Amino acid sequence: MDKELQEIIKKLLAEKKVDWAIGYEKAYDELSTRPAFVQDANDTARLIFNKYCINNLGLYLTKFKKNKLAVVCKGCDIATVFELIKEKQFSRENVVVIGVACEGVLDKKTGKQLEKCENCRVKQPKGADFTVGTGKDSAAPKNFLDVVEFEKKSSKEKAEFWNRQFEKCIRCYACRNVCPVCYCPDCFANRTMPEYLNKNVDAEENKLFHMIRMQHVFGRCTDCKACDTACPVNIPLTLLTKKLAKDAKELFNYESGADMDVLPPLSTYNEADSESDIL
Amino acid sequence: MARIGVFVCHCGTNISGVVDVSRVAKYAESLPGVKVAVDYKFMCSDPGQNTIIDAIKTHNLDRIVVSACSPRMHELTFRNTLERAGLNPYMVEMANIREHVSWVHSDNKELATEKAMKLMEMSVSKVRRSEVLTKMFAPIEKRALVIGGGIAGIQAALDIAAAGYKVVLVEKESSIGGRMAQLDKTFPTLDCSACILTPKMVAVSQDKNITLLTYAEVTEVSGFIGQFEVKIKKKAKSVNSKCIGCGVCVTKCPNKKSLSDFDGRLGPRKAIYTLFPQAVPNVPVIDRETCTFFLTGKCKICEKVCPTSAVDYTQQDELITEKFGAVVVATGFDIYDHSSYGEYGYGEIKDVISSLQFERLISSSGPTEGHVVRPSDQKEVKNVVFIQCVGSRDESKKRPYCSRVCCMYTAKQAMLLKDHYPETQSYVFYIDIRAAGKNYEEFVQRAQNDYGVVYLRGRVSKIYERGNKLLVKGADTLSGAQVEIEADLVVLANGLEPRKGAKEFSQLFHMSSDQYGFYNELHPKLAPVETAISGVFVAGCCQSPKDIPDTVAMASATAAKVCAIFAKEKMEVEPLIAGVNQLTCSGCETCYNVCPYSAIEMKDKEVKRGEVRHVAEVLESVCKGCGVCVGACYSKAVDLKGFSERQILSQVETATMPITNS
Repeated sequence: MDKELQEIIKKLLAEKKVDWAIGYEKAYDELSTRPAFVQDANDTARLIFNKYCINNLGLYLTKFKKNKLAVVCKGCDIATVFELIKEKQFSRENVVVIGVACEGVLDKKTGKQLEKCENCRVKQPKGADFTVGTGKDSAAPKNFLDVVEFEKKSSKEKAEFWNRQFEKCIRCYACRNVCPVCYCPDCFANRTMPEYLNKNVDAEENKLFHMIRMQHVFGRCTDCKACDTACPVNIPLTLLTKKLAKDAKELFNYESGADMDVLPPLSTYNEADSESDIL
Repeated sequence: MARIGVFVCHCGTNISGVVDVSRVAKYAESLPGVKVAVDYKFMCSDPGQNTIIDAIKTHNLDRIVVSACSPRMHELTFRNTLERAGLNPYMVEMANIREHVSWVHSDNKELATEKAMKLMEMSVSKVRRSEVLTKMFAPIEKRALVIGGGIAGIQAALDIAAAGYKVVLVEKESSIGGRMAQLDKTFPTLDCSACILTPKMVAVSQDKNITLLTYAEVTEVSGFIGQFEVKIKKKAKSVNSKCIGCGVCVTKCPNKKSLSDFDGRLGPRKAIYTLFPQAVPNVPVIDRETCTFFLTGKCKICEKVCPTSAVDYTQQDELITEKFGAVVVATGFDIYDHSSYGEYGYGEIKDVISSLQFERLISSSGPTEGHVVRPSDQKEVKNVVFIQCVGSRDESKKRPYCSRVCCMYTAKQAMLLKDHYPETQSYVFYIDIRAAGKNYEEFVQRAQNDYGVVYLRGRVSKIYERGNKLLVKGADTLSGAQVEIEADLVVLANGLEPRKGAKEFSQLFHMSSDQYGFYNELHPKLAPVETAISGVFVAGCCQSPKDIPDTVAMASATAAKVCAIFAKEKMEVEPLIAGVNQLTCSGCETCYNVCPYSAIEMKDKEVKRGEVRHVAEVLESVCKGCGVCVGACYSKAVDLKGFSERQILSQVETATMPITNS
């Protein structure tokens, strides 16, 4: 599989179809992988793909805007690429998507498969320019069981839960920095005029930061779990991103990255839009 | 550091009756940056404004807060004050302590005062972050669109044209003239309606500045004051410009199947027709829905008899798009349909007719050539009953308003009848006589005293057909007696209501209407011809029922307003619009997608030296300053001038703080 991947990229680079290829390579130990950026057709041997390739490489597309790129994508990562194309961060012609069949990825800390992989419907990538390997999709539809369970709690219980979580937050902004759709050149959290957010690390301000970020990524977040995986203090951000996905589906029948022709629900204007929340 | 002045208004006792204004002023003095704070009886008055100007000069102020009424009321006043004092007019904020405080919290003066202090403090926070804004200018298309060719539209078009500006007058019927053309005589002078109307109609057709589009309708409107873009559908007349108006085609047309709406459906109308003999333009049109040729493919008599080959069956509807700087809406009225009145026979008794039908009966150019005869048997009449307030002042028919003209036209019709037929006797059932107008009351008195019209105060409970007579049962509430009158003809004084389709029409311009469908003026007293849409004005009965002199006055007023716009070189536009900081714009196109006015343009632009990026830009003349883009922008690259995020957030911050040292 790695061989096939390397050959495709080698050819793309050699024929100057792309300037850069973004893939995975082995890191400091057997279980670690890291993003690899390849410019030379003779340098493709280090590219690999295995069950520890957890990163969503869609993140790097917005950082190489001026180049033609090839990017290695798991089925789930393709959704991110599509969202970014819809938001005009680059054009479809400038990206070659190399889909890799995936059996699910593992968290190396726990050795367990990520929860999102359990009922993955894109183990066989869809919409890629090249596809490597074949995968078997789960038959089970995407469920939001843990969100449904959490929604049953009282407001007080929910507040207590999240207050405790956000007390832990050290505002390292890792969640934002690894998020592929958090590509604003100047994040609201950095602003001082006006200061949307106090720069102090305290539970209330932390909560405000996370809530605003969630508002901003609503309908655009593809629930890739990059933020959850990156968080050094284990805040269960997955619970929030899944809630976003659930709301987008239920309120707007929208699924991020699913359809290239449909814009995110909060990025459109229609005079006939429902205004049920406006008195 | 900002140098702020705070001016607290008493508004007579409107504010000071509830709010302790001196305490508000004293509190203002304690706020950082506030150099002077005063309270005064009427801030908007001349001495009030001079107080502000003096304070600006004495204390070297660079921005001010006026704690008074709604900015909608007086923001413009105080912007002008600032300009006179040599400051940028946008360096004023208003704290609304009247509508938002004194008028709604008169039950708790202490808390009301505290709220007034807080609102004032919030405005101080906002004005501290105000930035100098420059007025913008947009080009003006110096052509007016007048919609509706009744007396209102005619007058407006003539007045605008007289000032030297181009006008397009659009009328949906085949001739201008409107309702006034249907009337026989006019109150209170009894001069012939056609005699005073037709010269104006001819003037329209001869005016070089006026383009007349009859048999045409406005279908789509976009744009804004100075730059309206309007789509007009010119319906196929089936008669072209070669027509000389000889009328042979109408005479020879064998198709008499339809009834003439113009004649109140009392007489026939040919399939090729002109509305009335003095029609302008005097060019007939073919009603394709009833024309034998269009229905069966055979006939073509009109084509054969036409001496100039002007009949053209192949004409198509034409859609044209034109640009206008201002619009006058004068779409007129319909009369109330009395078929909802069971007591008057549900509109099914032939000899119970509407007032407009009576006008056509007594008009010499009407279907009976001026003979008032019963529609049922064409016999002349002797006893005639007039019933007032049909679809007016009637809560049960959802028409509680007074239609204003019915008392007068009923008196007129009774007098005309007596003039034509001295043997007749008229009876009028009324609720009150409303004759407020120059020589109006005298006119009604004359009907009663000189013409012997019997006025009965009361309502009619039932009209029966008995033999070939009508039995009118009613009450005379002044004598307390029940009355029964054997009448030959009953004439109802139908009230005025908006045109059918008025609601749909108003949506073309986003104009608002009242609960009946009459178009809303901007202010019932001080802006009676303006609408909430700048550059769109209303004249005549589409705004509310009114008589001819009021309609003409209103039409001339709209013309004055239109000319005031056109007299300017360029249109002054508020700079309170969105702006993009292209350095922080990520080019995601969210603002572009959500903008309801298509005021955002996406551009590839060099934002830093050597760095071309895909970024948003605001089209200044299109932006309305609604702020949707500001809310939608994730990277906060869009901001609204005059309502910047800095200003709003500092207001919010102030709102959450307790009142100090009060």
